Amino acid sequence: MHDDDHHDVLARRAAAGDSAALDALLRDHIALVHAVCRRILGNPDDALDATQEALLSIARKIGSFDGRAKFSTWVYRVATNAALDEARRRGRRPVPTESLPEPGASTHGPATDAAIADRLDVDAALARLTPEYRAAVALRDLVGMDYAEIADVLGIPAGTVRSRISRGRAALADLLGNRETPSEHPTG
Amino acid sequence: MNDDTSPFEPEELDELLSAELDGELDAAARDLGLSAAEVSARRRSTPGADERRAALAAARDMLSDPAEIDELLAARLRTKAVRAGEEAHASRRGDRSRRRRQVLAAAGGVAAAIAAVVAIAAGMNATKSGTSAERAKSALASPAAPKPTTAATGARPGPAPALGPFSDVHALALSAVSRANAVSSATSSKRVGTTGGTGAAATLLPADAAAPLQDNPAAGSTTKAANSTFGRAETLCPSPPQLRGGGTLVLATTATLSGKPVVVLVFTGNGEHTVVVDDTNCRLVNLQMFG
Repeated sequence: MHDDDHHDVLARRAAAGDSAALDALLRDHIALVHAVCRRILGNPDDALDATQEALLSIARKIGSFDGRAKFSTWVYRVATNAALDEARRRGRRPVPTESLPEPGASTHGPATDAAIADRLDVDAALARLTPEYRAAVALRDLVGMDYAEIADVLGIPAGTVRSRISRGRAALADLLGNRETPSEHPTG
Repeated sequence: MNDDTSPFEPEELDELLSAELDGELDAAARDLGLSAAEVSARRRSTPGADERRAALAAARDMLSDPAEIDELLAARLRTKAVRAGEEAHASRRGDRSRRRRQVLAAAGGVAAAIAAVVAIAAGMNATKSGTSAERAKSALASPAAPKPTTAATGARPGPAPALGPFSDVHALALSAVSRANAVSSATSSKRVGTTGGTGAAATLLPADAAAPLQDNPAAGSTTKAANSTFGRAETLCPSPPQLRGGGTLVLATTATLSGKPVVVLVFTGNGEHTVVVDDTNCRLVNLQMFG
């Protein structure tokens, strides 16, 4: 069975009060829900708060999921809204909170260090964008939604989605030094 | 087709290249008013376009790398959410039960309200009947109605005169005598009866009650009551001077004479019938005697 169909079945069971089905759904989606929140908020603590809010919201509102959209689309819509709400609540721009370990002091392997460095780069690059721009990037590059789905989730035209994704990627590409003269990017 | 091969602006190039990475190049070009051939030509003339595409692709790959969440932390968040879901489900179930109860209560309330409305309507109809009688009574008591008859009989009055419409007063008097005789023969009992059908107001005084009060002590109470009843009519429309002290009222009814309501009184005495026709103000309209 296709993942979406499988999740739709689980969603119906969860809506009928099947806790095991709800737990299975959350287990399948929590990693990406957290990743989306993390990408939008750029801060691990805020991301955890938003993830918790998103999961609670999914669990409480599963009864209202009508099956018209794919379950995954509904889940990431809830997650995106939770993250954007959290960003508005905090009223602050995301800042990378993890610091690179001192040379020679690393307790991680080289691969982990590289991953942390990459994440810092990503967070730093995306910090130049507003949460709404980051949401489009997250839904495209993390979740894999097409432009039309993202437009539907965010309630914006597909052309705007394209522009936001482009700017997110360009910001990171600029930071990584692929362009000698970085262009101006919206900062909110 | 446009032969423009000018280089793209940086942001324009980023948007097209990024869209190309996502398989959305055609839509992006269309939105920019460009054909695929134009995009290709201008891209070739844009320095560093291929390198920029590679950089954007690298950025996309980095952006698609999700931040991981600790397993234990994830399990804790999930457990909390499932618990919240169970509570919400229980609450929804409670709400549904409550709504069902409310619907049942509302249905019961509606049924009770309908029953109450029906009962009230029935009560009102009953009251209306009484009220109609009262209204009819007062209508007859009004100048346009023959109040003496109603007052005299206490019978069920109605809007239509008991004897119907007449244009000739003689015909009216004959009809009144005929009615008095008919009712008299039909009513042999010692009681006051009413005739005239719906809305009719014709009252017959029983034959034995027709005797003077002092001459018929055996029927005293009935006669007294009857005379008392008709006395009101007589009080309202006193009998003409020629009948005072003689003749007994045997029929009091109403009619219309040339379109005007009139009170018709039939007296009997000495083997004769005297028909008195009064207007609603008790003014004598006509008096006829029949042997």
